[in-house]
Amino acid sequence: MIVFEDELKKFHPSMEIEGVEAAVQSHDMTDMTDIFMTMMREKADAEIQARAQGQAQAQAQMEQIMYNTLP
Amino acid sequence: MNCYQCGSRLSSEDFCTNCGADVGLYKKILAMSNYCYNDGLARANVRDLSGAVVSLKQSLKYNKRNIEARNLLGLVYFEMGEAVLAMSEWIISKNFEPSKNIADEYLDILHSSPTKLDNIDQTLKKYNQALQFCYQDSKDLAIIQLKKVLSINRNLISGYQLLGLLYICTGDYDNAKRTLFKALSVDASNTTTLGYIKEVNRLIREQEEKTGKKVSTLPMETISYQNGNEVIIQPVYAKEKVGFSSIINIIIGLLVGVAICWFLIMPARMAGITQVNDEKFKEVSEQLAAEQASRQEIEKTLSDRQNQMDELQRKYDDITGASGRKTEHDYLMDAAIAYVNDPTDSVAIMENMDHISEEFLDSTTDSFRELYAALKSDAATLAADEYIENAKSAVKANDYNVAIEEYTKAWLLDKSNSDVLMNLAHCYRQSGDTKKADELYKQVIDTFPGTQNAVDAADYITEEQD
Repeated sequence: MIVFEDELKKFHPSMEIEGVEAAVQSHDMTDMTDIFMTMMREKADAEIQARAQGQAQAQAQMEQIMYNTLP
Repeated sequence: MNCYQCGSRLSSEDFCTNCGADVGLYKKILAMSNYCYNDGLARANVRDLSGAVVSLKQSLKYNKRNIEARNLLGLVYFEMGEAVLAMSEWIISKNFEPSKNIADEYLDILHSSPTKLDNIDQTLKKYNQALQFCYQDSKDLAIIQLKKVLSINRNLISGYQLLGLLYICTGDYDNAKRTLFKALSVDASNTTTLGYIKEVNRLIREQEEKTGKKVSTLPMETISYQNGNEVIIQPVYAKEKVGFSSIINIIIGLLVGVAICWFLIMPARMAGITQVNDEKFKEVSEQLAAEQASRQEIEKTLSDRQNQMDELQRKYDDITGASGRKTEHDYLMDAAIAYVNDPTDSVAIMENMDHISEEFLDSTTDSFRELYAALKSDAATLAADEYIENAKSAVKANDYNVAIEEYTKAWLLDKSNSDVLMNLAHCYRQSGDTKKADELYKQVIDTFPGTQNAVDAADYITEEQD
């Protein structure tokens, strides 16, 4: 059963020529590659951070060992 | 396909051979984008435009730099009557790939024809206006506006769908189906259009069940087939019944045609012909009037010439005597002949001379005047005496009319004789014309004052007055 008012809500005003610029500017250009790149960047950052933390821990452990072994 | 990190060309491996980046997932994303593009292309090929839009949008969601997909999406939008969306896609495409991009050609085609672009813009504005009419529940106005829109932009799917919806709501199911079938001929698998057609069919069936009559002349289901890239949907219109109704329709058509000819075309043609005829008539009338004037002038000239000729002929006849009319010269000659024959026949002489007028004497020759004067001096006295004798004889015979006539002639010949005038007055008195007699008595008194006749005349007048 069609309800005119409900169906009418599905129709939207068509974009006019003057609105092309605005449409291009407001176009959501984010795609899967962008998301992928972001993910890769975040992953790389996390790895760098983890590596730095590991190095710091290793440095600390080394210092502890050196301290214990010294007379 | 290039590495997203270093930009070098990728091999078949899942990592970049140049920088070692993991490109396995990246490759899958691009492959998915291409897959969706292929799907969209296949759908566009069978005129499943709305399906193609979905697939191509999906493709672009995977990879926004898929130029082919974006260009095709613009083309599909343009085919659906959404020129502005198409332009925006082509502009973005051109932005990503400035050189060797077919979107450039599409945009050039649009920009090279400002009229076409303006028409597209006008139709979109009218469509939006129609939509406003729908919001304001002015369905009739919306239908009129949408018809205008679709007469210019014949591929605007949303226009067909909205018009179909309006027809459904106004109960005009036949027109609704026709409109929706047109929408299907542009976009063969549009779910909204198909849903509306299904709803229309349901409504028609319901109405037919209620009324028991056939409501729609159109088929309940569409028959569509593929012809190259075109999807042909038929039959949109049911075949009309041939027979008596057709004949009636033809007759009505003929009558309408004749009426249009009679009331619209014929008056204009008649007015045109009448105007031409009027101009011709006016021209001919002017020529005729000019001819008549010329003819009258010629006739008048001819008549004058004829009169002049007649006058000259008459004068010629008078001179030559061919007319039988006597001239003054003839009378003078007759008078001279009478005088030569009998000098005492003064009456005959004077009778001839009486015909010569004073005016003629003034204008004639001296010799004529001398002869006239000589004859008159000799004959006048004798003639006057003879007239007097005749008058006296008439008085004796109581014939006063003759006496008056004779005395008058005598008086005209000799106006110095008061007796003649007195006797003439007596004759008038005797004949009963006392008024004329009194006039003559007075003339005697005035002309011959102091004479016995004047005294007597005064007595006669007095007696009459007494």
